[in-house]
Amino acid sequence: MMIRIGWLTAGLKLLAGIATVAAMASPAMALRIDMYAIGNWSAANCDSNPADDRPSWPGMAAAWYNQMGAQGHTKTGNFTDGNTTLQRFCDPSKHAGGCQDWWYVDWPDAAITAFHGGNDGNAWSGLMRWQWNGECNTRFGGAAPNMSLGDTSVKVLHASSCRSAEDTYLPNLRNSMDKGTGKRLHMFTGFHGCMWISSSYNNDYKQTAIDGQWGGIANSWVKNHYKRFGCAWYDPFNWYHTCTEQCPVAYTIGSTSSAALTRLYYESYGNTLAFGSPAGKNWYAWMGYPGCKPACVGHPFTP
Amino acid sequence: MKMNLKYLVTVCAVALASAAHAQTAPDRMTLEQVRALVRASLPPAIGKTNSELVKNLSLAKLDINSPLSKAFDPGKVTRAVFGRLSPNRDPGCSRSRTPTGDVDEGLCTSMFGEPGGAGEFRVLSYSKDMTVGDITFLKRPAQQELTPNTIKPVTIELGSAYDAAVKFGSDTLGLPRIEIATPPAGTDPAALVTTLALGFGQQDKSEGQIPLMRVVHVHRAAELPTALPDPASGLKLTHILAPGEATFFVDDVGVQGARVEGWVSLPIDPKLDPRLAKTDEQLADEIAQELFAGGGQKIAKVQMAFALAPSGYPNPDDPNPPLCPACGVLRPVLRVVMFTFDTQVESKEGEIAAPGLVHEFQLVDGTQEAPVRPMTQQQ
Repeated sequence: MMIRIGWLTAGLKLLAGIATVAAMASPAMALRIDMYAIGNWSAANCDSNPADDRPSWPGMAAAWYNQMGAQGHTKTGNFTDGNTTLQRFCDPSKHAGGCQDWWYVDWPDAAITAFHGGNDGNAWSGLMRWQWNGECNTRFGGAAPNMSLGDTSVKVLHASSCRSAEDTYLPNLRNSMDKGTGKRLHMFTGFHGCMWISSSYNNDYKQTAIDGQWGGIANSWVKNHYKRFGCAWYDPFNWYHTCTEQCPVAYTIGSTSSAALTRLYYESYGNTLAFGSPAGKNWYAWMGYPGCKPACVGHPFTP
Repeated sequence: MKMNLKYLVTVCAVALASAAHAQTAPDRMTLEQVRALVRASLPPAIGKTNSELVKNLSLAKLDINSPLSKAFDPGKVTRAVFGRLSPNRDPGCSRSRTPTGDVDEGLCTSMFGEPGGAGEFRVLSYSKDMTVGDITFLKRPAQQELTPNTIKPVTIELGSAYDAAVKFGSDTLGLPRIEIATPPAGTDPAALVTTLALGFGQQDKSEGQIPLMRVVHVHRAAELPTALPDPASGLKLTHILAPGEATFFVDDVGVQGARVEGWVSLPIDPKLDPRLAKTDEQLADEIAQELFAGGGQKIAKVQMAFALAPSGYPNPDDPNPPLCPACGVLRPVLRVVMFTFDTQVESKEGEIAAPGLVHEFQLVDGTQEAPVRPMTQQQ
């Protein structure tokens, strides 16, 4: 059996350090945060195959969510399994009736999602639990997205999801970040190719919250989620190029290249309110690892 | 040190269909097929009897004289991160015990600058009890408007960045040098170092990218007394994985950030009995059943690695004696990574596949001793 001793009880581990961190998120800068995760699909009707259930997945999202709460942000919704449908992510402009910006993912300031993902016409497609309005999938970016975020409150969206931010998506991810109302999504993070799930990776999500508070959200995401593993038995250190990688990507938009690059580098959870909305979406900027070669995609990250 | 048991179940997230109801059913493997694949994927060093193998693995070399818990010098690291700046240090750093008298397993954090401000900011956090082995620091420069022309591209060579990172990790952080395996002469630096980049584009056109940092990702290593040959490639396994990873972010000035996680200072179990090593058939059966039950019904490939992992307690009857400095031990395991999609294969639109898994399997029977006290599962 593959039980191992974990490092340390999560709650205790960071308490002392967090006391300092928590003091940083003053009420004026506190964000409302949500998490949307699926660990069990098979009890619903979008995917009845029990082999696709991933009970450890919500724990990773919760590691970010709980840490954000420990840092002084306001935990406003843990939506795990249950009635997770497209209705929680759709936009009134895309689905007449049945969608409201203030119901779910557009309502908090920052949110994390954790569910199966794939490429749907160079857009990130997320697999829901239950069918809604005849659909089981979200679609972020691409030519015809069914998600449109940023016009209400949400500023930061993390996707703990396979194939959520691939190189071929980059030009059009911005299509889900601007609804033309003047307020736009600030930041989106995801993965080129497959990402991996493990309770031992919970700390990566926790550390994303910690570093992202002061060191830049994009920096924090890409630095805490890069991994190299899955090597040949005789090559555990990749000396002979046999390993695979996990390839995180962060993305933002702006009215100029400078605006996008500056936001990407400096915007943190602690200053996102002060940063304000992107003034446009003509430009985009990304942070990631060119050449990074994950599973599930036949080519390395080549933006 | 109070440790909690947790499952090491790593699962690859998976590609999915654009319309779930249009998904094609995956080709499911039978348990026998999974067993055959696992059996064929076992490292050739695993045979019918594995006592010698386990003995070899359990004698893998870690620095017991100067582990990280002893070599870590908070003053030296603080000077390296903050220089002459005066950081604010969490007053709790001086508290090494919890109110109940246990070893405080939290972090000590120091910072300079306003976290939410626009000025320069630096932070350093490390385990108060360094047997845990966590260290993180980062530096955020003062905010300024970035343009493609003002961002300074990193130019340090990959090999030089690797050398700088290892030197910093060893000399400054205290990572034992023998626990960072030296690559063979002629190793491609690109196998060891990757580059973090910023890119930008207008409308649907990419306009450029700037290399920002070299990123050096190091797995802790333990050298084997006897290298294990791979007959197919002619290569030899000289080191196995040990608990702990370190990532360094290097630019032309030096190391600008680092994260060390789980570099635990624990001994290899002195009570390990190699005579109880599992056979190849036992391992194949155990692994196959676990993968099959956990979603491994569509497998592209299986990769395995020998490793040392925190596992069990030296004194199962009293797993957490008062003020125990290090109650865990390391034991040899086989780390099994199951890929649903190979790196050469792209999942298709309209296809959903059973995700891959990574588990750890004990190589020796009877070593998973249940602690007397109830454990907290992280998930």
